[in-house]
Amino acid sequence: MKPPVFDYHDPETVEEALDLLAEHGDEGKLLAGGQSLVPLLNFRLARPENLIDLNRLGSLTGIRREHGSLQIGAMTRQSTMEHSALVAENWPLLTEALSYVAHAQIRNRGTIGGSVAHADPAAELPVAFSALDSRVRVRSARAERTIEISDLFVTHLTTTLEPDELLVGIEVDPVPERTGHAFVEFARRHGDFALGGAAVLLTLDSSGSCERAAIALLGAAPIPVRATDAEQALVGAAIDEKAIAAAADAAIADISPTGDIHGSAEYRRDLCRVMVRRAIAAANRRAKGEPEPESSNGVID
Amino acid sequence: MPRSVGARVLRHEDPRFLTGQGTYVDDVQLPGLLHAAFVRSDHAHATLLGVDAAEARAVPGAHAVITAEELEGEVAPIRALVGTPGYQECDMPALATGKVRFVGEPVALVVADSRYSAEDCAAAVRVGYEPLPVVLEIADALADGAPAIHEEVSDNLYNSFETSTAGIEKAFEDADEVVELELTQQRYGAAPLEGRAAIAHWEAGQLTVWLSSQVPHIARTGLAKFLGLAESSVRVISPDVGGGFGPKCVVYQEEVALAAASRRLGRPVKWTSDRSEDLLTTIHGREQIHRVRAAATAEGRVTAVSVEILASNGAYAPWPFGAGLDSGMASENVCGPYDIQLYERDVKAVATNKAPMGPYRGVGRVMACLTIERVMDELASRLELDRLELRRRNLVESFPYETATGLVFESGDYPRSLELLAEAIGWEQTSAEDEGLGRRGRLRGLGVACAVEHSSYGPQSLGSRKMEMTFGYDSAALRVEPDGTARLALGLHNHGQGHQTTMAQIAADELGIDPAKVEVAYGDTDSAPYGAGTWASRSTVYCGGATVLAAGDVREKMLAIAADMLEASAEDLELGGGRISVRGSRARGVDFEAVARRACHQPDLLPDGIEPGLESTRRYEAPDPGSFSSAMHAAHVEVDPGTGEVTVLDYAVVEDCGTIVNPMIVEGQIQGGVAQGIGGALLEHLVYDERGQLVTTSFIDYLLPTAMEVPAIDIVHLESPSPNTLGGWKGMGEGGAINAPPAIVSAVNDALGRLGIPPASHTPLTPEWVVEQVRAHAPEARMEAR
Ligand SMILES: Cc1cc2nc3c(=O)[nH]c(=O)nc-3n(C[C@H](O)[C@H](O)[C@H](O)COP(=O)(O)OP(=O)(O)OC[C@H]3O[C@@H](n4cnc5c(N)ncnc54)[C@H](O)[C@@H]3O)c2cc1C
Repeated sequence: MKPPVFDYHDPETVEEALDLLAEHGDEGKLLAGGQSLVPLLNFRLARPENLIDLNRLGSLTGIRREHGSLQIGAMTRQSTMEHSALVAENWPLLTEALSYVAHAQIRNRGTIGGSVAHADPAAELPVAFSALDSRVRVRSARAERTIEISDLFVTHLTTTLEPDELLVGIEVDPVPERTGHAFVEFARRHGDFALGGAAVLLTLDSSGSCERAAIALLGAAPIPVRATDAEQALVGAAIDEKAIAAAADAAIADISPTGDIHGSAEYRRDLCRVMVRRAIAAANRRAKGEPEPESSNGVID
Repeated sequence: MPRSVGARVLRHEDPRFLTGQGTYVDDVQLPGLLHAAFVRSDHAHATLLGVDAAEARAVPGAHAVITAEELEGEVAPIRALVGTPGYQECDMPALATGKVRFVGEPVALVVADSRYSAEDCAAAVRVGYEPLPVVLEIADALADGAPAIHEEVSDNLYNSFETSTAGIEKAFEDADEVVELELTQQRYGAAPLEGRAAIAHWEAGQLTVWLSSQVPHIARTGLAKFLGLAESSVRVISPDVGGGFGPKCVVYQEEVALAAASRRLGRPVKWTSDRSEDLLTTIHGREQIHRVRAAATAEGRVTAVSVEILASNGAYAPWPFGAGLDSGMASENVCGPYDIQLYERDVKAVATNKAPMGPYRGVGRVMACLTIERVMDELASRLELDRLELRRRNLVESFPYETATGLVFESGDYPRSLELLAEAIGWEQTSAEDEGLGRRGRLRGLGVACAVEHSSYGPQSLGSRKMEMTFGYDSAALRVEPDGTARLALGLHNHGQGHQTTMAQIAADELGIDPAKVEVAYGDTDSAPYGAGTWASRSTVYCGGATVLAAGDVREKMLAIAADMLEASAEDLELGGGRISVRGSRARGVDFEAVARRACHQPDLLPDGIEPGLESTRRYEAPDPGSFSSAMHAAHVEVDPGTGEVTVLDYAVVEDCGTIVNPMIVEGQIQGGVAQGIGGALLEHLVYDERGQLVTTSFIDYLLPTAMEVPAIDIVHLESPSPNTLGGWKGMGEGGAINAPPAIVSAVNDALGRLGIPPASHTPLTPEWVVEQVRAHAPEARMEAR
């Protein structure tokens, strides 16, 4: 469990980092929090010739609101966002999603950008950002561009970022009034990658019917997926048991998760349905301002 | 004077551990140290065609690539000798010879400047394999015409024996109820925080091995034997050890190969297993199948038990215990704390192409407990009796009690333990509440499991296993220094048990001093007295006993000297509070230190016939067949029918380990054991795929319970001293791990029973299994939003 030989670079400016990326391209790998990359190196599953460390790039850190939108620097630590009052007040889905990410020690190192760029379909943040229709800002020595989150993920651990591109930040638009959120997942142990989960945002109209719904699934496919049929099924409906059940059925109609020793494909598919039901129910409760039910066992660190 | 035994003395070892000052093998640095990595088999069963090391030898930093061929004549194969009828021995070569028998088996050893280059070098070694049919499951290994894993082990049976009490058939004929169950248990293991690690240093004809071991003297014997050295020219040093739990009781291939490499290179060589190596190759535990039949009366008295026991012992028999341990010990304990005199067993230890199986906390007895406790629950349900009441009707009540397998429970109060357990978990009230919740769709359940823990096996009991050595005694060497510090060297080891504290407490009470004045040493075969280390919950009884004897010698001598100093008679003196004084008159006394100084520094002033110095080395043989603690556990769980998650809400334990040396340490042993048991019940599983590849080779997939999965445990002590051991102690290190899986299975069965789901007789109870059951038996319960 030792990595093969590599060269190490620690640029001090974004420009320097971009130049190094341009130079090393396919043979270079960015090091953010290292919480996913370092295990891959130690297992020799990744063998980059060059590591480009982003940890000195202070300009990539920080959480701000600009023109109502949330701007998160790629190198912002997960724990910083977890404890951000701005995020908790205005984008509570992200705060809730973070409570499921690994353990406190890992969140202290792991970054928001790293989690998105790593593109693990069982990771919480990409799913939450999908539900929020976020955008990622990307730079290379050549150019700068913005990618809609729905265009970012290709498959397991693969994004549409070019080898010379650096993810510099994530943008999230404000959440409308009367919106309830819920992030729900199930993992075999607290802090493990989940076997299945769902992020839901429900916006209700003044009569209590659903005006807008966003449902993103975790662990359902090689990338975070939006359950658009289920979303459409909810819009215009009153959120009752029947509507929830129908939406959950619709959400899993087209998914085919990959099974492993912790749960077969069949189990995971079914779990997603349960997660969607629970997430819609919780988001609906919150949108209506109803009190949180007593949790039976939901201890969260 | 307040006694130290029985007090919650803070652990003497903790300041060192909590401030990162411990010294583990990997912390040891030596001049000229080289680093090893192993080339391991990626086949479960294959003929070895050849090893090509040419490219590897050219890797920068490489010093040597050593294969079995090169070790020929230098090391002997490891072979556990077991002389009981029905046992078949096998060789375990230090490096695979001729063929490989499990994935992870060491094939070649690579030595380099650093672990990094050693791994580069290992990756460049090419090994040719010709695959052989792979035998993974017990049934496949026992099938007619199954491929032989060892030429020497016919029918793939390391061990096979049967015993039966006369009259058992009649009991089944006369029975009102006969319960029949098949129980299965997965492979899981110890996964200590510190994996295996060793440094071998050959220097001037002397081999020194730093080894993460529970048994330094036994390891010395094994290393000497397999390397062809005199035992006295080998020194084993086991410094701080980050958890053992059984697997560090045996001698491994890597250790022998490493020592041979150091002898060849004339330089010290270090190997620290990484987590994958540890999961692949450190002795696995469990994996048994039991087929049980139990006869009972209409009143719920179990009259006879017949059991077939099958264990998957993997590819080799670990030295020195052999491959008969798990299945044999399971078979001795199936009747648990219950009075069942008619018993029959058919026991098989089976060779498979998986990692070797061997000692792991609760050896064999976890499955024995699951078996009898499932029988009890099943019978209670058939007879519509409360599960505690059914057990009450079967518990052993008078002592000493000899079991059908010749164990002798020396003392206890099992009915009282069960009563205390019912109180601690609130059995009746919680059952009623759970039923109410059940009607509203919340699935909660209570479970119970009772066991007697055979510990500190006596010399005859161990001797009957006919191993190469009978570990039936242990040693203590006590020396009081001139300044009054007591130095106690022991044959045990200490890797979580707190012996540095408890042994100090025992010695302190014998000498009338503060336990802080007792320094405890162990782990270095050059300085520790000969002993068998720490396993099978033996150390308190064995080394505690030897400490009482050694300290008693020193005490008597100090009393004689003090009597002379005080011009009093020794019989009128007492020790306590660091003084020796005339009984009842502390002022008429001398300080402990003053007596020590006189004994060591002033031979001229000593009374006639008293030799200078204060030292004694004594041995203690535990009483046969051993000491028998009892543990009764209750678990309260909630099951989520939507996800299949099982949450342990509450957990209670009533433990009776005789006289308690330090309740806090006893509680720590229970906590840790229960955590491992929760892992075994719900999470931990060493999974092999159909080709014999271990899938769970990191902590991503091998799921240990964390603090988040383990509830606070309510512990109640009962103290029924052993009339047989010095001090009244009984060993108790394993009970936590033994009872927890059956207690949780029982609780989950209770919860799922509300949906009409038939009870489980296996571990682990995975979320997927739970969901399958709910879908099959109560689909409407699935979707209850919570
Ligand atoms: C025990 C454990 C449990 C975990 N559990 C969870 C969990 O439950 N849920 C979860 O979501 N995560 C989990 N993680 C992963 C953790 O959240 C990681 O921090 C995260 O996935 C990656 O972030 P990082 O900053 O550590 O990235 P790194 O590991 O440094 O990098 C990951 C990848 O992203 C690339 N990358 C990083 N930053 C950028 C950038 N700015 N632009 C382009 N590419 C970039 C790297 O080159 C690399 O390929 C766990 C990790 C561990 C060790």
